Amino acid sequence: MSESSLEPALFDFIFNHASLLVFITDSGGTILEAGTFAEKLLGGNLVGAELSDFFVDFSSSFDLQGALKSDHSRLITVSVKEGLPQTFDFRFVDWGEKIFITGELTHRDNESLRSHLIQLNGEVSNLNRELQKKAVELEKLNQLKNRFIGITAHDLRNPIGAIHGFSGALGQEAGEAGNAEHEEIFKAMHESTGFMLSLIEDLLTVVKIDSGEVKLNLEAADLNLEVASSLRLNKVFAENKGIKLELDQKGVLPEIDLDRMKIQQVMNNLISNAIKFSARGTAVTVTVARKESDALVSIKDQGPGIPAPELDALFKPFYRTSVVASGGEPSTGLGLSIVKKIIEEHHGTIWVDSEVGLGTVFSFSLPLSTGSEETDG
Amino acid sequence: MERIFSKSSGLAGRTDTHSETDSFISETLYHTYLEKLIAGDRADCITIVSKLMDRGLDVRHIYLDLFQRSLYDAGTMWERNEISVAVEHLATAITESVLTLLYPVIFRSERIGKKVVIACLANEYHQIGGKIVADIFELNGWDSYFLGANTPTADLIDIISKTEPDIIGLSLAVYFHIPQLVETIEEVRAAFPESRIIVGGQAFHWGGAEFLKRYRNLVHVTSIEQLENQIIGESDNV
Repeated sequence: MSESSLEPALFDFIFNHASLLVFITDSGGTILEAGTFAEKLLGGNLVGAELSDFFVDFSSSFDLQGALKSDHSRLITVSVKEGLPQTFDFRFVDWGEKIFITGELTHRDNESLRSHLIQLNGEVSNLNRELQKKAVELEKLNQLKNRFIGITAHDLRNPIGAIHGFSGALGQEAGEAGNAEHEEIFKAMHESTGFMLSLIEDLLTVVKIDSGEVKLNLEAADLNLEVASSLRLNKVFAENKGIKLELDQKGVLPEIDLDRMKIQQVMNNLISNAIKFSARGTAVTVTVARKESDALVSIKDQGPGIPAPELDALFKPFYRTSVVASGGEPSTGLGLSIVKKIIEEHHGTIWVDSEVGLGTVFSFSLPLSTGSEETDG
Repeated sequence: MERIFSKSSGLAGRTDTHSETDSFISETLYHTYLEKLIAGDRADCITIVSKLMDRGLDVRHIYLDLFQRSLYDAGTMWERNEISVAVEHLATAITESVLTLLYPVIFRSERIGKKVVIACLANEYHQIGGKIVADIFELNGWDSYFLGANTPTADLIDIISKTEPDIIGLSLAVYFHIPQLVETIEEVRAAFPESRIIVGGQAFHWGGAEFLKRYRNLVHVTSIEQLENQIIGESDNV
């Protein structure tokens, strides 16, 4: 290539083919010509625009004359058409009435940023690995705990059951023989062992549910009938305490797939709790209704209510509220956590509302469209 | 302990042909994965691996025939200037992310009461090889302590002192870091004279591992198959 053709070719290369920001501006910084790379990066026809408008700079104005006087290049961040702003190494050359400006990508900054991001990604993935490892270890410990509780509870059930049975029989004999002192002792033994058996049964249920061993035995059932049946079972308990047990069924419900025994367990737990915490002369009202695509059951009492800070913890295993049962009846602290698991296995939801001094409402919903295909039962 | 391998690609060795009948991952699927990896499409890479896991594919095949192979191919493409170092680093970063999908399977293996500490040397930032080695140990029931990239020797010795591992693994990706490897081995051996050490990594891809023979109780691991043989041998001594 001859010298005479070299300059235009070089100029053409720099302006139209190099990955370099190239501008020719007037002395005020207005763009007269812009290279192809600049137009692609900054977007559109740049002629007539102010170069400083593309500079991401929090200072009031860009000092073009100052830049011209300096021997050094200057790092300036430029707002681009797509993506985050990018930093270029700018040089300014006085060209008579015009200014020749180039901007070069600062590879060092990009390299540094990329290597930091890669390191960060590596650290995050290492932490994630440790987290997953710990999660699996915790799951194994949980399974071990469940197995331990299950074995212990199972082994205790028979001997305690025997003591429960014998103490009941002996208490009856003592009563018939007129031995009041022994009758009291055996009655206390019978009640204590009865409570221990309830605790063992609840523990075994919780462990089975937690281990995924409980499978629902689903069949099409009328929820209204199941609730009514549960009220009949608890009627005597309520009458003995002088509590009115009421049922309010608001209309017919379609049959839904239920594990009838487990739903009975839920209803018995919630109704017996309501009775336990109610005073003589009050009422417990059970309502069954349809709400859109759900069946809604609520159990309302006129008991002392539960303080608001305790409501969130009610469904946790072994949690006992500060409120005392009106007859001093003991609680295992597992009933509500079992109820919650059963409702959730039915794809339902359970919640509680309460006001101190007015009473408590436990409610649960069950989807009316629950089909057997949605469960593992 | 059963080994399931279709073929050994090795940490240092590379194969140029993978037929449809030899691999549990079809060539079409592999090349689709590689294409997504090079394109930086993390979401699609995750989808491909998730589907392989849903299919019940042994995770060893995913490690060997997908992750290891694609990382080697990306490395070759970089050496041939077909991709930039930025693309190669992104491919590694995506692979690290995708590895997490396999952890629920890997960490569920029955524990055998053996421990391993794996570390990349100080100033070594290529950690994925060491991480894969740690995962293979986990798959074989070992408890692994993966210390990650750029592990100062003092920290390594501290962890070894606390965990008392049965094996110490050192990963080296850069050939020019071999003098640091020698220093690290000497320091570890000074602190723990009877320690059993394995060494591996891309630093030895073109050779240069002969000096390791002068150390007793030290094995240079060149492939995942050899590693598993080593692990199984150790595990049988439980």
